[in-house]
Amino acid sequence: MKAALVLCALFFWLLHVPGPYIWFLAAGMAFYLGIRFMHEHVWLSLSVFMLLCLLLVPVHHQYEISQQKPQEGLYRITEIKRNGLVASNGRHQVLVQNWQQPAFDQIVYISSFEPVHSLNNSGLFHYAGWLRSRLVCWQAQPESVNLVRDTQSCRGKLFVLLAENRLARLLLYNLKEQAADSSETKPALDQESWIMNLGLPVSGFYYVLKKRLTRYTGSFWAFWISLFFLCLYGHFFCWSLSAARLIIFAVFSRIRSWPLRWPLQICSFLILFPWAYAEFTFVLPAVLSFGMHFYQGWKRKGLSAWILAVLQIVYFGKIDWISLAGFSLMRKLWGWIFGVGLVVILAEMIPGMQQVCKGSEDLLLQLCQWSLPGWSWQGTASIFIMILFAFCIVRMLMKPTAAALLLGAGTLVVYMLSFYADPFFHVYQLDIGQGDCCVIVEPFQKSVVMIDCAGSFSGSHARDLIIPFLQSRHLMRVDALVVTHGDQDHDGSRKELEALWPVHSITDSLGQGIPVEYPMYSLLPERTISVNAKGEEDENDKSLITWFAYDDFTYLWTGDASAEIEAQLIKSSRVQADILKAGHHGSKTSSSSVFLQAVQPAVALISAGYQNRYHHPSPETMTRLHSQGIDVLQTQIHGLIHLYSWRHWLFITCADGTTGVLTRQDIEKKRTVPSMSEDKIEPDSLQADPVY
Amino acid sequence: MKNLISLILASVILIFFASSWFGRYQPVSLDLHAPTTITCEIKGEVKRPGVYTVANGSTLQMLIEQAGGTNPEADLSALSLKEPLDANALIVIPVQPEKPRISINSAGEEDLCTLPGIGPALAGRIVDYRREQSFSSLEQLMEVKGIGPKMFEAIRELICL
Repeated sequence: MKAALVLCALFFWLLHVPGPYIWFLAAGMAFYLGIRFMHEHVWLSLSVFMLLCLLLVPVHHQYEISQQKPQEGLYRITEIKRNGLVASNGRHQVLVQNWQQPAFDQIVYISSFEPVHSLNNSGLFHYAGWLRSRLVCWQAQPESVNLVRDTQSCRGKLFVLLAENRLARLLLYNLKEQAADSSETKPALDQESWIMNLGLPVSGFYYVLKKRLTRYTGSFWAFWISLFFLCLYGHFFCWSLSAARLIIFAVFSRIRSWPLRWPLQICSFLILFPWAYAEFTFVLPAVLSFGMHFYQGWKRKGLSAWILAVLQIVYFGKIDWISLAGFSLMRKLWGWIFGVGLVVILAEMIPGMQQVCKGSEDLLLQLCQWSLPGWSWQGTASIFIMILFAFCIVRMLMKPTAAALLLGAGTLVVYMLSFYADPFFHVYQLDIGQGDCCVIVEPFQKSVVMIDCAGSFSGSHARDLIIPFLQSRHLMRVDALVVTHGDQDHDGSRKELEALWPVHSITDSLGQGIPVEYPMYSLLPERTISVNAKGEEDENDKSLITWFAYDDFTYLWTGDASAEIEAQLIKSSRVQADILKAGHHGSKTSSSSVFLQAVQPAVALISAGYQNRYHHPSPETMTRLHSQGIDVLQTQIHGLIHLYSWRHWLFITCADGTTGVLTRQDIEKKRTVPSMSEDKIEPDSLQADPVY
Repeated sequence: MKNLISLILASVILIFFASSWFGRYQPVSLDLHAPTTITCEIKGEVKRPGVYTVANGSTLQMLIEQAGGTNPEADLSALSLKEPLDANALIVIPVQPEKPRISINSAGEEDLCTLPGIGPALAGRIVDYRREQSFSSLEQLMEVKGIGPKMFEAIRELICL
């Protein structure tokens, strides 16, 4: 019976992944349960499973509702996050950004909506995707939000009171300070801190409190008091997912039998928060609790460290060694920081105590800063490594031996080495908003070239995007940075990148070579640049044009060069290329038809910002590209565009899930049948039989 | 058996990585990369109009030579023979605009002189001839002393009554 319950809960969990095949999967699972428990408890397991499946119907309905456009009306602010607020009217949840002086339970009137959107680079945190998984699919247009009634709840007033306090924001509300802190010389490279995600301060304090109380009052009262504390925290501050998870798991923790406890914990959490089936704060304890049941003694510790490592890789693309070695110690430390911080925050309310508390507050904040960034191995695991991990998990559960643990440790080593044993040639076109940034990696990381590094007016692309991206692919240096020309959307992050990351050489003027071994050239070093009305040379026309070839494929990156430069280029050299980065973000002044005919690309990439004010790419360019049968990939639609080749095959993967495979033959076939000029018709025969 | 399978698997992986390391790109020189030939089409007043493959950087003159030269009626006054050709260019050699025919009955001595082979002396004799009787046919011109059938054929297209 116990096995049946555990299996039911496990299947129920799996069924939360949305998809069209979900009911077939459910039928298959029910069939398996029927066979597995044919002789005992078949009716029990099947009926429990059916009941759980019925609970899923409204959940999947809720996904559909969240896709529909919300109606204008009154919304109540329910969540406060670092990048915005979530307002809800009971049916829809809406993101509100740039709202001054937010508080819980404010009532706002929202009149117009647009779909949520954020830069989408696979391997990095995708805010819009995460919001969508939380059923927040729409955001209010900035001008359309009006305050109707200020907060009147206790929770809201507390937030207003504590909003200025940095320590309170960090510990109580999980609101990390904005990275744009000019006094910080060293950037906080660990942007999406998993500690905050896990709600470690609160849970740490819960465990510390429980342990201390057990010593004085016995376990029964310690349990109830610490549970009461959690509820108080949730009621007065925020019902963060981690706190809610802790309460649910704590409620059932009194049940001694694991095969009864685990399914109850999992199912009750999923019934309350069905959209959070894949949140780190839920998955980690659930998987740990599941895996630990199979192991004993020191092996249990080894397994929990391995699970923590794998989940860190899957969710955050890194292994944090410090937390791996001393997770419980870290939790304890955070618990104490939280406890002391709570006292300091309370003491600050007392008049006259502020001066005294200021010092200890700064000290605590520094302690938080110190314990946030870790000593880690960065890098997102590829699909092959993920498969290896999955295989390893199955092996570990089948035969819980020391050998299985050794195998697990081996997979971690393979993961770490995989970045230096990568057999593919990679070209990444980053989704960097209005601007350009492209990273080219040779197999086995022999070289890393970056073409352009766009800047941002509102933040720091180098710190928030480019370096986290390089980390996520474990590219610990840039061998050559090619800066096509000196515009903000092409070289804006150059200085910062040089300061923060090892950049070995920079190519920024015409005629300068690019120090890589494979063919990669800066074309058209001598060119005539037209002069505008003011007598200045056009900056865009000075763009470096980069042509490179690897495996069976050729690539052409033209910067912002206009059609005039394109014409000079096709005159001076035969620049056929399979992949073309359409010039000037798809503006109509570039990518002329003659140029496209000469280059004959199979795929054109366009890097332009979502809703950019220049309206790039222009419809004229798109028409020209389409009329020549060129496939177009745009960063504003597809997110990060990742091309990788192995000999005759070129694979395309975009952050939005668009995929494709190209071979040399495909490209040749796609190129239009050459006109008569290619067929070497003898002039004499033409005269004898005129064709015109 | 199990050992054999793992041995094969390991060697396949090894071969895959080894083949990924070597021979992934061919060196390409930039000079080679520039096209050596281009194709152009020429038509109009040339001997052999058609599509020609010429060296990159060739001029219009070279293309005309390949096409067997121009016809006598070709008008090159508006073309630059020294200009390098673009790839896939289409060149049309225009025909000379027709001059008005010279009337042998009414044209003055100066106008008659513009005809090939006719100088002031011959022009004077034509004027003398038509004072006595006007020309009623073009062939009558041959009655003027000094104008033979050969010269008449040369100017026949340029004159009228």
